[in-house]
Amino acid sequence: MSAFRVATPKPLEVATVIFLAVFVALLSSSAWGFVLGGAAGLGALAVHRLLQGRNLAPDWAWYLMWLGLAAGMPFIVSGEYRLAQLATMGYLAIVLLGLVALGQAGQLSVGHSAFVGIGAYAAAVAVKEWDVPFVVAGLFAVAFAALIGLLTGVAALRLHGPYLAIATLGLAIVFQPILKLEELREWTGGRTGINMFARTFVPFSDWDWLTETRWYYYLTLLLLVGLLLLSHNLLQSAMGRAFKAVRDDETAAAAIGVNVAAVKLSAFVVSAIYAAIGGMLLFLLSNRFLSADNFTLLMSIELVMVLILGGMTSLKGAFLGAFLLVFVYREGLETVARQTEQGLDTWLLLLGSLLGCFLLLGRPAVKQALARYLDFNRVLSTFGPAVLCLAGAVGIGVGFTALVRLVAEHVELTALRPTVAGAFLIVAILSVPYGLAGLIDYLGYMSWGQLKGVLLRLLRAEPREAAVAERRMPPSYVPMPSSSDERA
Amino acid sequence: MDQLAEQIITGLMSGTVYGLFALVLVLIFQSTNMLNFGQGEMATFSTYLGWALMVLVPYWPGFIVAAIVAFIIGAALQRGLIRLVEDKPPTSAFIVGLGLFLIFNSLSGAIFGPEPKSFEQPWTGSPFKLGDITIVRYNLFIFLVALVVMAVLTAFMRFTKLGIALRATAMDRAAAELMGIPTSRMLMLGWGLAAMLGAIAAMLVAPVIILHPGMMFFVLMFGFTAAVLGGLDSLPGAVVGGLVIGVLQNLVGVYLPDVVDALHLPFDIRDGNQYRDIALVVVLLLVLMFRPHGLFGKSTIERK
Repeated sequence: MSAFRVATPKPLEVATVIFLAVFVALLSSSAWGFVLGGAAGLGALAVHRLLQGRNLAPDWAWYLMWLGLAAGMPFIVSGEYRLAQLATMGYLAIVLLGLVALGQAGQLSVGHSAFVGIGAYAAAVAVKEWDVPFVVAGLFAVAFAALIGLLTGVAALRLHGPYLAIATLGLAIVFQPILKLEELREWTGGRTGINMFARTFVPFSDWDWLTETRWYYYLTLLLLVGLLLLSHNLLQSAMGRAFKAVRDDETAAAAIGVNVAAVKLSAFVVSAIYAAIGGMLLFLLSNRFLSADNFTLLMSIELVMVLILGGMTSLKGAFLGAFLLVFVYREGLETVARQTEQGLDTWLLLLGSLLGCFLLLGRPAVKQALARYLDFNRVLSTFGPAVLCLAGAVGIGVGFTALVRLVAEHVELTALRPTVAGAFLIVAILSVPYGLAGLIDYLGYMSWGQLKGVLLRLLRAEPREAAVAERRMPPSYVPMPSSSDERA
Repeated sequence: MDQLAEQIITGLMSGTVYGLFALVLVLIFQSTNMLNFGQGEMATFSTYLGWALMVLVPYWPGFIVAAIVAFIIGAALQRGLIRLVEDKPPTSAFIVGLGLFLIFNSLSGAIFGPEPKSFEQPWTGSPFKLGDITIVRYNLFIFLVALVVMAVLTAFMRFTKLGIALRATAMDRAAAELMGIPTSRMLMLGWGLAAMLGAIAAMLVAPVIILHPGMMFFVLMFGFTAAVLGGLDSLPGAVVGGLVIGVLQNLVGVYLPDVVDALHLPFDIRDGNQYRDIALVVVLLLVLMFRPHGLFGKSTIERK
């Protein structure tokens, strides 16, 4: 019996296999993709169990499966567009890896569009002006971004407080006017930008199967894997522990001999370098065409958005964030908007109910009100409030659908994508502050029984009057109960 | 000399708007301890509302109604949303600000369209002459309105019970609560006021920078720069910072090519106007490096 219990897949594992099957089916737009993705997941699961029985680092089964799937993707996807999408996800994951490292040091930047832009432009200018090989151009781009990161960081990072956000805001805002300067026009192309569409950066292509897009895809994959290993090692090293010490408490970190300013600065420079490498890949992937209008404050804010939604507590978050940006925010919401405009209500209902779930579940006040006025705990057992909560969520979903229908008559829905994303960002930071990665880490080690317990606790109306009352009280005003009251 | 005086006067006039917006950011930062990145976009949205109203009604009624609507939006946001992040780490509040940025930015674009619009410009006509100095009428209008708004705000903060309660709440919330001030309601009032002042500032600059969804990106940065220059915890400092920035911007626009020439630098600059905004970020970084507590802030900020 115990052998069977080892073999039972955990909730997260089941979810991963389902995700793989659906994702690969989507990318290959065929039913075979579903089978292939599912088989890859189940295979990894089987190998995982095999290794687990022998005490042999079983997680590698998953890592190698992901890597193998990524390497095989060019032959699975249905077209160049999908491959380009995956490569975009790859370069975004690189940028986000840098931001996760920065987050580990407790800092948040809203200016990384500028560093992505610096990477892209510096590489392009180096190739265009000095005709150097792309590797050299890339190194130049990295060095240049590191220098700018150093200058910004020196000014803002040695201060306590919100100064990094302000300084990086300045950087993101001013990047466009700098690119458009007349004096720099021979380098940056001014308002028209840089166009090297005709040039190819493929150093060799002796085989027919290695098309240009595939070449860039594998380059992205190679850099991504390398930088992932680098980040992993960095965060495990003494430096990484110093990052976390500074994040948790600067004073305490300084007291045990951590050079706080130097640590924050190196985290910032590392993230700038990652962003520049991402930008370099962006240049290759965007048909070698760059325009100053691509690198706006909005791009930075989208990056921070998916960083938060993906989760910045672990490296997983970078991948989840990149996935969210490419496949959910860009493609998913676009599809939803299009289908809704064609008259399909299902998506709106689902989205609205999800939003309603976030709003209602886990709110002690809501659950308490339900428990108090309806006494569901007695009448309908523990599931009464849960059912009502979910009904409320669906009600919110219906209201949401009606509202959007009303709005859709006057407004193009695709333009409202950021509104939805912003709403989810706010809801997410309030209810799941560690993002998807945090959620996955939380659910990762759970068995089905534990998961059921968590869900029940979320749904049940618990008497948490004390906690609620405490929250209502101003921090320094706590009335002392008189002793006579207590005796009575 | 006259050109210099003219540039300084023009700079002071546009500087009042930056000062007003910096005032808004400092007000929120002091009371809620939050850098509200969504403030500019909230103001843009209110400006769009004002624009839509002014199609139907004359300038002043539209202006006032839009400002009142902005007040309601700000207060409602504090009531419904910002209160939830009060006991959370500051990053959460910051992220909520970014969420507001996304929401209001896309709402303005989706509802009113992404193409630029011209905002009504009252009090147009031939420019004033003051000796050899010419002053554009609308600049004077901005200056006077911003000045009146600031005077009213100062009077409110100084002489009314409500204003003093508001300042007390911003200064020390727990102590204010102990004095019997309804701090929660004060914060709501503060957010409403901030949103209203932001909308006024945005409606004042809208004719100059042309109404479009991204119009407040730069003003937001100028506001932050002005606030840092004045010291993030000083309301008068924010105004002075705004004035300094306005003047600096104009001087850079006109005199930068000459300065570069005079210093015999190895490059020359044809059009200084391109550098107006870039110079400000340089100033911001220099201030952060050499005088992080700004001109008027408490010098408690320490370098490490």
